[in-house]
Amino acid sequence: MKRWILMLTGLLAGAAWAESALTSRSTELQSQPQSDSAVITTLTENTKVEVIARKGAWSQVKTATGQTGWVRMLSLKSEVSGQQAPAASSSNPVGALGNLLTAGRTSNTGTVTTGVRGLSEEDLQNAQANPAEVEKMQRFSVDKNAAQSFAQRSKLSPAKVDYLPEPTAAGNTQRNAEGG
Amino acid sequence: MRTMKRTLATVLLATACGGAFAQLPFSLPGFGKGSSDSKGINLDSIGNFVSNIGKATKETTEPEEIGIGKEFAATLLGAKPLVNDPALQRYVNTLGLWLAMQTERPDLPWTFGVLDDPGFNAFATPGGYIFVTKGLVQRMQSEAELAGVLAHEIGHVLKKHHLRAVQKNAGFALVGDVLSATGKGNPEARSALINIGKKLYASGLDKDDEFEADRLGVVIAARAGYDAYGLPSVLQMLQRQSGGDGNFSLLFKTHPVPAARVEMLDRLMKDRFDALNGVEGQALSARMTEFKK
Repeated sequence: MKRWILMLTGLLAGAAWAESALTSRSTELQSQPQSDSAVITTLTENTKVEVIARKGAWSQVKTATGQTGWVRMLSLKSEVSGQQAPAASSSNPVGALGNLLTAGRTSNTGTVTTGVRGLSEEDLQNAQANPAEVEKMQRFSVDKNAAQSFAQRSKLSPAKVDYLPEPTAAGNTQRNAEGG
Repeated sequence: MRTMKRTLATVLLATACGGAFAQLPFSLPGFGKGSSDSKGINLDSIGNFVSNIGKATKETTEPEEIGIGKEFAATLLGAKPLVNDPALQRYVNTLGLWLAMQTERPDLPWTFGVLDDPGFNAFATPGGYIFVTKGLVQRMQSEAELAGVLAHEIGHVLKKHHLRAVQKNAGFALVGDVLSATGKGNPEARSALINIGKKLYASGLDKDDEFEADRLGVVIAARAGYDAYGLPSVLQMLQRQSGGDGNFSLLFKTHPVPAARVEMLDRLMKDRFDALNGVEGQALSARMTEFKK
């Protein structure tokens, strides 16, 4: 129970504390989270911004010069690229909270060995088949009626959406051709 | 040939899985069918397992696919058991099935489980067995994020990524594992299959399979009524993560770098999802109350 409360706190924290990011490409800062909204300015690649909020495809950001607006969330990247040690987690309250959630983990840095770690190659290699647990898992499965009623009470409306095409080698050309 | 198929079925049924599998009409795919080059087949010859499993999955039937998936599920559950939390398990099954119902394979025996593991990972096995770790569920910032992760795994099942990888790796793995085993052929066949599975889940799928699952995942989540940006948001969180953190190491080892995955989705999603009013969903705490009833 405690961990769910922590997670809820995390949600609130995520909304309350800004997190910094960089633009991963040249991107327009817009007045609203809509593609047809006014363009405030164009941010060049690697512009540092504070992320204030997210709404669907859009992130609300504040620039170093104090301009606030919306950019496509996918045009943002973290200040450190994946799989490198990020900056000290104390500057990132959400990260710090993440530490609380993972017992034994005291740091976000790559050099620190942690007491707890996730399912590993060795765990897989040493695993003995556990068919009883498969049976148990199956007992928790539900039928389509249950899923349907879950969706209804959760106001989840099915939408017709086509699968995305495979990206072409000439992806950049395509992006330019199709515009925004 | 029929003998051979029956023998194989017997081997698979005579496993630790026992009675639970007995009603399933599966055998190791490919055995006992389609081989016109039957001359010289020797049931005790390990070499035949190599060739047969190697071409096996091309002709895999759905029950066979499910049978293999169940074997792999049993292995994953042998590494880490389920979290002892029926409400959480029922919730993930309900959310997962709702997502799977939006796909071209709604009638597979979709089964979802949360593994009791502090790490951050998710797995799919053929036929519709999907796992997420407790550590992953705890780090989700919204239900749409969890939906995105489950939908990515559903994508692997839809496209039979693991089944195809088994086929691709079978020859190599069986040479390594079966030939070194002593005794008669058949028990080694199942053991070889399980070993292929272990290697597959430790080394990961081809990068292209992961990219494809990302493309499918955002669409499936959107079809189910969720914000399509749940999965991308998880990938951006992974970008911020340290590769030295043991809770993420297997995931990082088995997947393309998050930045490349985000970049591909950025290129493809553009404004395609803007008109949809996808939701973030409910807080996990609310869901736990809901599913405890």
